[in-house]
This record gives sequence, structure tokens and C-alpha cells, in this order.
Amino acid sequence: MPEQQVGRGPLPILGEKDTQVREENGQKYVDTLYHHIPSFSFWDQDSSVVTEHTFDGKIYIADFFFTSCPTICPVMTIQMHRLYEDLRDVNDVVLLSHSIDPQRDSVAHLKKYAAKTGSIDAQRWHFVTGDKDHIYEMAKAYFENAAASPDAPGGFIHSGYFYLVDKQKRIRGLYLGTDEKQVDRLMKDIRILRNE
Amino acid sequence: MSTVRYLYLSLFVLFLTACTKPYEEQKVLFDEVMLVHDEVMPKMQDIHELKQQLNEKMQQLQQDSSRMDTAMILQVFTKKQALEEADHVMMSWMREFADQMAPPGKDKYDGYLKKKGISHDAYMKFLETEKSKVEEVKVKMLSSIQDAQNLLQK
Repeated sequence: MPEQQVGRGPLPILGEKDTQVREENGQKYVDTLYHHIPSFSFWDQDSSVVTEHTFDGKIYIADFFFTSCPTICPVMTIQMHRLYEDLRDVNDVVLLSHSIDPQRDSVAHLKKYAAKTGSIDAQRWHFVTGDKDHIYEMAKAYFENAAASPDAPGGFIHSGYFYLVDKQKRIRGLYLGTDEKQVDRLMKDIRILRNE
Repeated sequence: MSTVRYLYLSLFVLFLTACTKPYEEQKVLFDEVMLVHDEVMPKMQDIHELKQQLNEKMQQLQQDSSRMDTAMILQVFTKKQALEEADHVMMSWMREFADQMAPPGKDKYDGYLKKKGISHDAYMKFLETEKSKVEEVKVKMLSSIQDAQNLLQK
């Protein structure tokens, strides 16, 4: 098993591919266009505005949760916290947790939640809130770009996935945030991605 | 000798059952509540999507100024409101439940109930109430989804 991991090739780029024919000096070139995360704007636990540009030049791991979720979210937060600890000395990988319950999860509420989770540096782990429709649209964008089928059981809202996003805002892997083994694999994939 | 040993053994077993039984009973009921929750939680996404579709429908209806279909506009409006209400009751139920439920994991769980002075019977009653509450939420969600789908298919 460890040998297989060593031999793992580059990570796939998930989502629909599109091609575009470009003409330059009478020559035709075919460009492959990969799906990437659309632009967004939220607030984090420090009231800072968080947009796609917050992650320029960074790899990030995104998930969707809410603080009063009784089942899977506490487990996801524990796993995210493992990542947070694992990435302590890494400065180009950050975490982004979106709340899907902005009505309750205000900036202040997220700040409390982050403090309860551990001593969290908002620069390395953003807990964000914002307009509910916007959050749902983003959840859908991540999920549909990453998953083979948008009709996958559970759908995007209650999926519990962690999404690995590269510096070009493309999704490079999805992992069940409730499964420790998949999160272990994510840790390895982050290393592969950083060495690209 | 062996009788004494059996006596000890059966006493020990009895002691174990007495200790674990309340937790097991509560766990069964808790899982039943969560089963309903897990069934409808993904449908929050359907609610969101239907709301978007109703918004689009509303825009189309309002653009068509040649003949203002007020009856239809009202229908779209009420269906959207029902979806919002269903979304709201589900989120509220989860917030209240998550605030009151004992944390998962047996050690934390027992400590929590003891600290709060909640008896087994009281906690079972709480779970029973929550089960019927979440069942009601489920009905609200499913019917608002069904109604919106029916209207959009017209």
C-alpha cells in the first residue's frame, strides 16, 4: 500500500473539460479549459471579506457545514482540525469552511465556534458566512464540478466532502470529511499537489 | 465453588446491563430521530433549487404584461413561501435539537446528562418529543416540495 502511494501520479483535474480553438498567426491551437471555482464573496470569523483572491497563490481545502448540525459536522470539524494541525508549518495551504446556516452562524457565532474548536488563526482557517443563496450556489459549484454525478446520494448539502483546490482554482480531489482514512489520503495528496 | 462463581458472574452481568441499558435505549431512539433528519436534510437542496425555479417563473409571469396572470402569480408566491417556511422550520428544529442533545460518544454523553441533572426517563421523553417534531418538519418539507413541483409542471 505505501509503495502504491509513492508511485501515485499527478492528481486528476476534476470537472467537465471544454476545448477552445484559438488562431494565432494562421496556426490553430486547441486549448483545454478546465472547470474552476467561480468568484465569491463572504465574511470570515474576523469580519474580513473573503473572496477567491484571498486564495491567490494558495492551495485550499473547502467544506460546507453549520454549527448546529447534529450529525456529521462535528466529525468533519474534528477532521478539519487534524488538517489544520498537520499544516501548521505550511504557509501556502489554507482551509475554508462555509456555513450553510448564515441566519444563526453570524460572524460572532463563527468566532465563538472557532475558539471552541481550538486556537484557530483566521488567516489559516476561514470560517465564512454570507448570503444563503450565494452559499448554496457555491456548494453546488464545488459539488457538481467534483462529483461524477450531481445526483449522487445525499446531494451537495449533506455530503460532508472536503474539496482540494489548486492554485488555479481547479478541484483536484474530493474526500469524505467524516472518514479518517480519506482525510489521510487528502494529507498525502496535498503533498503531491505542493510538489507539482 | 462453581455456584458462587456463577453467582458472581451473573451479578456482574446484571450490573453491566443495568449500566448500559439506559444508554442503549436512548441510542436507539436517538438514531430514529437522526434517521428522519438524514432522510430530509439533503432535501434542503431541493428546496433551494425549487425556490430558484419559482423565482424564474415569477419573473416570466411579471414580464408578460399583455395578460397579467394574477392567480398564477399568487400561486407561485404562496408555494415559494411554503418552501421558505419548511426551510425555516428544519433549520430551527436542528438548532434547538443540537443545543439540547447530549454529545455523541458514551463518556461525554453520560457526563452531560449527569451534569444537567437529566434522568433517563426525562431524556427518553425529550427524544420522543423530538422524534415527533422532526416527523412534522419532514411532512412540511415533503409537501412544500411536492406542491412546488406540481405547480412548476403545469
